[in-house]
Amino acid sequence: MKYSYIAATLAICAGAIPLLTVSGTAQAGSNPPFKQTETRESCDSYDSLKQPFFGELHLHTSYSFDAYTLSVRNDPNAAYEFAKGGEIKLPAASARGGGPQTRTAQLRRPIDFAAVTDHSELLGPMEICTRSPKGTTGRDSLQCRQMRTGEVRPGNPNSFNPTGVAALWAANPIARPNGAGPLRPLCNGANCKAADVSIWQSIQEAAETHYDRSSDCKFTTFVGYEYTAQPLGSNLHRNVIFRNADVPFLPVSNVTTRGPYPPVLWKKLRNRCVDKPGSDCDVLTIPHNANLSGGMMFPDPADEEEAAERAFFEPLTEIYQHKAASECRYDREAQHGVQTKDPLCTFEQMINDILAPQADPPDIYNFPPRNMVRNALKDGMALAEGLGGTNPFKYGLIASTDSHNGDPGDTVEQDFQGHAGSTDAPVIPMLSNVRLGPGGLAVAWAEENSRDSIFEALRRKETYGTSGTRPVVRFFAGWDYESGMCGQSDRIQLGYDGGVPMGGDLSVPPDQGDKPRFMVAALRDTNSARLERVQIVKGWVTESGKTRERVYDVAGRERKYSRKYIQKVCDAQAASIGQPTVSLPTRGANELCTVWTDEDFRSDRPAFYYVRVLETPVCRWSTLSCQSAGVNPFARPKVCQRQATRANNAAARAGEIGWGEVPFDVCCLTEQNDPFFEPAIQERAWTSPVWYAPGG
Amino acid sequence: MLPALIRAPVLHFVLLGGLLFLADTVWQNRTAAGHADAAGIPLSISASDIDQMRRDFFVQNRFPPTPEQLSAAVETAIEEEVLYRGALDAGLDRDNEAVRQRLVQLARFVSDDPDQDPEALYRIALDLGLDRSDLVVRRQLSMMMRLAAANTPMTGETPPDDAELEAYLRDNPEKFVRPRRVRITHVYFSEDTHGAAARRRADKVLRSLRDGRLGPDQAVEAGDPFLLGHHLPWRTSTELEIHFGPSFAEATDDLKPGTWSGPVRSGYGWHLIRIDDVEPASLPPLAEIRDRVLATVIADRREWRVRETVEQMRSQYRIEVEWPSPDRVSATGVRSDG
Repeated sequence: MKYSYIAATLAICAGAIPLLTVSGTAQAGSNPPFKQTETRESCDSYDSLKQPFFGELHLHTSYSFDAYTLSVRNDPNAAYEFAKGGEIKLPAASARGGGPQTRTAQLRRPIDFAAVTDHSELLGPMEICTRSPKGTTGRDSLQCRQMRTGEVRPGNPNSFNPTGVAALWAANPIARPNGAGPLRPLCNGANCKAADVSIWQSIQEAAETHYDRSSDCKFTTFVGYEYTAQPLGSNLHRNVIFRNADVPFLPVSNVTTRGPYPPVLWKKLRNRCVDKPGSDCDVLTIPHNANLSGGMMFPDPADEEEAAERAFFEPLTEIYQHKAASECRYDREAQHGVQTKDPLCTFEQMINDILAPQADPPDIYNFPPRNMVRNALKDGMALAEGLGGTNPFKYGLIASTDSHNGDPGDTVEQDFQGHAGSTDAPVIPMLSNVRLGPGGLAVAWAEENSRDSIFEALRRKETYGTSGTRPVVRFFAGWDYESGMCGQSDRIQLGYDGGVPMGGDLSVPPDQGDKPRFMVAALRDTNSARLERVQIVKGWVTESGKTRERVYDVAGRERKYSRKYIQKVCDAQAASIGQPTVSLPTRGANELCTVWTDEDFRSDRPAFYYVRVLETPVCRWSTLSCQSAGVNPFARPKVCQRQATRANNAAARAGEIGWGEVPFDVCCLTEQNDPFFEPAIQERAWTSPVWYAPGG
Repeated sequence: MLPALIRAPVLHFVLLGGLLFLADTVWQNRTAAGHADAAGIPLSISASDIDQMRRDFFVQNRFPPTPEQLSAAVETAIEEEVLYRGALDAGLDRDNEAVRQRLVQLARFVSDDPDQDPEALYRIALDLGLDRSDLVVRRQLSMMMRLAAANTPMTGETPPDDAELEAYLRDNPEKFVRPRRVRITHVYFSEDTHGAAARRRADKVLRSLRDGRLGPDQAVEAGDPFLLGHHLPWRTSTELEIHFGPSFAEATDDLKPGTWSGPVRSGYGWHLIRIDDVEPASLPPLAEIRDRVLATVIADRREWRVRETVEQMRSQYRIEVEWPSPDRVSATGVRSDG
């Protein structure tokens, strides 16, 4: 083939990193409140009272072994393009070995920042198998051919099983329970290291290329990766997010830490990044899916030092993503929760308590309490007393997607087309993953859209997570906010002046007997449903060391919704697919704001308070999918089952499934027959808590 | 991380069923000339093919295709077939290890003696025409042909020089333009608080602003507090749309700076708007964005080469498209209107 100069030109383009010669110009002649660790222009759009930036801190691309084998071919560059509003291709349900890519996806509303976080453990092998030229050592190995074909026995079409290939690849470097056994499926020594370096550099180059260092500040990227530890299927994954372009030579992976030991991860990140002499390296590790950690995500710290290291490296955790919510858990059939009576804790739950398939998942009475972030927040305060006052679980909250499609921020319920390539494509494959969802967004309150400004917002936990929509939520805690504050146009200034924002620590009461006051304001997403109510979730520790919680409705009110109303919402959503906006019924509020006092406050007991904002319900993605196939979850159970059977038979006749398979039966899951599932979804936001500790 | 295992047995089922069916048709169509005779066969898309495309589209997108979208799907199918045939003509199927392995595997399926030597199995596969019937082989070959076409410069083509890049930038400004940005002061009137009266209040405050009875700060106080503030930092129209909705964003496109306008409706209520500062849309000079323009030109050229190649190859075939009659209704219950 004669590609000659074109290929050469492309190679040069791909290798070029823009030279950064522009020096920072100070904003409005003053020093910004955040430390500047990189050379860039300051932002034209700057607000000392901060702006909400919507983003994604958990996203996989074709550099992740599991995404690639599921025929995803969007690399980090494609992913960042998507975040900025570009179009990507997605594989068909029938895709194998990367084709055909018949679906497209595009964000109607771009996001403000994103980090691509590919699995770090197998980056080198991915480089060799999918990005190296022919003739490279290892490229023709069994594992590489598996990766490229999705066939367990490459060349044998019968053995096509992409998730099986991914499981084989993960067996040693990721899933092993301890430090024993071989680490690499196919490469070793210098060859492997060179490959690791090459792909890690490509990840950094993509982040650099798409980071807007001009004063336009349109889009921020972060260099990152996912630390993928899952001993015996218990999910201990963490996304590692770097502050700037000053990053370690290689990721610290589960292989580097010789097994699933987060404290080793922090120690190595301290040596190679935070404490590295003469460097501006800084880093966070963000745990996700505590709900699938088998109780291991938030263990009692070994000692004060471990507690302090966790608190330093992990200011945030994901409370929601495509593998469901980790906030809290309530089983409506058992009428029992995991240390909670909060009925809204049925929201988006997985059945299992670990990542791996489980024959016999624990019931609600035996579910590990610390799989749920709310319980860890409570326990952290109780543990602090024995750890020299260090709360090891002082987590702020964000959400993200964890999508493996290279589509950051792709969270609109009615536009959802799966997150795992060919195995999660519309409609039947997606329905086989019916408890998964489109995931959420991370929101940072920052002065400007730059790495330093957003990173510091993450560090100080001035963040919230949403289940995918874009409400604007403010939360302040102080001692003498006035009741009329919501009506004042300078309420945000007053909030900062008289207290602390979300993620902060409430000071000790100025006078004996003072009660803390909270100002919470929420503005709805104009492209989603209106707001139903705002809640404050309080957790505290009693004199006897027991943990307690209470949920207060502080603005708006609980409402009931008829099936007819929900159906109207579903129809509006279905009509909006492919349209720029959705026109939903106008029940609920545009804005809710209140100043609330904790009358139950005890100045001698530690407590936290976070805000949960609930929208009015919309149709869940699965309901829209089912209805498009003629199965209505809102129909009477018998009718729904009849429709499902008809859809199953039609799919079998069309050869999409085998006879006897019943993918559409999940369409008839409802509140009446499932402990958690709901065909309608109340989108929501969770803010980082504000903490109070006696004596400060 | 790892979703449920795919239902591999289903695929086997589909594959086997497809094989038996295709083996049968291929047998009937088989000619003695081997497998380089694709040009002789008319390229036809049947009504049932089109019905299948319609169903596929619906399942993928959850809405039925418009006539244009369906035509596009048909065009794509023709293009794929043309590329596939072109690949056969160019001999891309020969000495292709991936295709060969696949065919050997398939032959094991249908052969009486699956243990015979791979070369013999390969021959059997070719005799059965499996290289033409197997979807995976076809897809692989059309993909290779597409790549070959994209990467091969057309006769007389020269590398893009600065003059071409300049011209491209001039002819496609929309791809590189820095959009207009504005700084806005707005006064907000909440529908939650005032209901239908929100708009009347806005009108009243607007009159006071215009005749100077109210200054901007007093006007903000006369309205309702807005959570994103009343003085918005630099925003493009797209950015305004993210929270305020499209109607608000569009309204700001035409406003002149310095004067109060409105009331403008957003997703929240009514707003009086004054544009404090405008930075008009601008096209950066080539020197600033040369890399981006070059990458776009190259990508465009690659697409153009594929189009041209397909166009040339298409002329060799008789193409027959049998559109379904308008009153047929497909399995998804969608009435066809193509």
